Amino acid sequence: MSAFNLSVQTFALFNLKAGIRIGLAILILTFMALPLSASTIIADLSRKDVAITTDFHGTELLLFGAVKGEEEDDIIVVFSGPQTKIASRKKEKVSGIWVNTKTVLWQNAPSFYQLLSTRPKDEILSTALQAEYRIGQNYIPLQTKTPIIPQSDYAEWFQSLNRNMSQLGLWKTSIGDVELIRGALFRAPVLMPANIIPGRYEVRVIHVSNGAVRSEYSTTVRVKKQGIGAVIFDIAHRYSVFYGLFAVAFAVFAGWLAAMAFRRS
Amino acid sequence: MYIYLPIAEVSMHIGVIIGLGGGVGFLSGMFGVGGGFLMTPLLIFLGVPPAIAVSTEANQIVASSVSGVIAHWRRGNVDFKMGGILLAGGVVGSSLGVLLFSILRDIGQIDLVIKLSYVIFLGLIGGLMLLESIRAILRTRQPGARRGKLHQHNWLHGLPLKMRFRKSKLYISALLPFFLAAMVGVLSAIMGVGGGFILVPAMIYLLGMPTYVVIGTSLFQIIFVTANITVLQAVQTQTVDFVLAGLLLFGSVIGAQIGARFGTRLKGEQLRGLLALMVLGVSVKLGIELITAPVDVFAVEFIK
Repeated sequence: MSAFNLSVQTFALFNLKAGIRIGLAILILTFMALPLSASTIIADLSRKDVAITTDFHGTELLLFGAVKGEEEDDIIVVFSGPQTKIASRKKEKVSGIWVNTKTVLWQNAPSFYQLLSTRPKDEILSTALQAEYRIGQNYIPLQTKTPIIPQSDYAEWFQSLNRNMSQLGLWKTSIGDVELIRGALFRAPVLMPANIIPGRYEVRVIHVSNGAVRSEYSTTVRVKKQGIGAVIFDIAHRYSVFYGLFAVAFAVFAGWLAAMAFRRS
Repeated sequence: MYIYLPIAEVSMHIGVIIGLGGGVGFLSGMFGVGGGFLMTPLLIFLGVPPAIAVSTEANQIVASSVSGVIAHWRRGNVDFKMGGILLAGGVVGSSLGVLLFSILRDIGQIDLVIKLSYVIFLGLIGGLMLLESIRAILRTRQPGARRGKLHQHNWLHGLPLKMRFRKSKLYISALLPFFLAAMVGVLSAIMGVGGGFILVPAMIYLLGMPTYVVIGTSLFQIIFVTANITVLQAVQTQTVDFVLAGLLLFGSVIGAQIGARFGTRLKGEQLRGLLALMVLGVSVKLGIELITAPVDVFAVEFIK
């Protein structure tokens, strides 16, 4: 009965590409075949590999899956990118001009962090549980190179990081972007902007019911550079002397060519 | 159509890049300047990281100087001996500049130093040029004004290591062009410019070189200074975006041809006056950025 319902919904509610539709069908069948497992959620993505090619201008992934739950349950998705070092700098007015005066070096900030949920997370889970499951920017375990002094300034620095990263489209909270259908199927679009960095992206999907976490499912997405751009990047970093000399030789040739081409005119 | 620049790691519209190259190329063709002082701040303004903008612009200037020097060389307007001394100084200075650039970047002050250099040097040169061209325009309205001496003698002519520069009709200390070029080289590496806008007036007024050899000789030395910056930055910081440089170049080559034709319709003094206003404009624009409160006093920077 429930399997029948799901397959009907699969076709009725998801106007997805054929590949995704088949993927979802397989996913649901696998899920149905595990009736006694403790897991109540399973998910997959429209693409598990994102290639940064020459025409890359950001991309949208679709996260989709099935859940064994009730209609009023909630889904939270935490999508986080590879950790990176980030310098937060603060400007102050020094003799009339704005100058960077203070710096905090974050050692392990996620380069990308998107939190998606069916409803605002505070309405779904207690803050204690949010902290335990590291749900939300506030609960990212951040380290700084040197401690922030005075410690009371930490909140201000963290908020500035959160704000700056949001402005770059890299950290984001989207409430209501997870669509849960009859407590059984869900989908969520994940927007990856053009300034993402290559590496492993971790996707955690959390099923919440009555203020408690029922189960969690995680998967990964790989972002890598591909094509001619990747080759240029690789040469520039591995054979940098050759790359530099080549860039100069190319410029000399191009300059000469330009002079020749417009010689008569 | 967007293109993902492999080294800058930003996605930009290809039309914007070629258009930028064309626009700056047009102005540089019209005024006979390199255009680095316009291109680098515009690239930064468009979201290219400062280090990438400066290194990539150095790469592009290599090409524009090569194409510029060929015409001067054919007319015999390059003083290779003077150029050699200048390029020796320029290579030393620009190497120091590249080093200074990476130190400033690490301590988070490179944006400030780039902007301050632009405000000070463009302001100074632009101001002097404007005064000069106003004076020239006034002078043409008063015929019969007396011409001054070829050049004045002062303490600079008493320095040791004197050399004879036939083409430039000079007998001066080699130290003078060497240190001049070294100083300009430091600025080239930090500002992402060829440095012609400082070198050319300095060669005329400070060294006393005849005007007709100045442009060719300065272009000749700029090739080597910017080539040096390109290679050093490529090796040390991997910030030369060859794709960005190529696209800018494509636009600027075409723009420069159109600009050059356009420029012949205007009088020399008018051209210099306009150029002065443009130089001053960039200086004032960046100066305002330094003194107005930023929208957010906090900013992030990715550390490689």
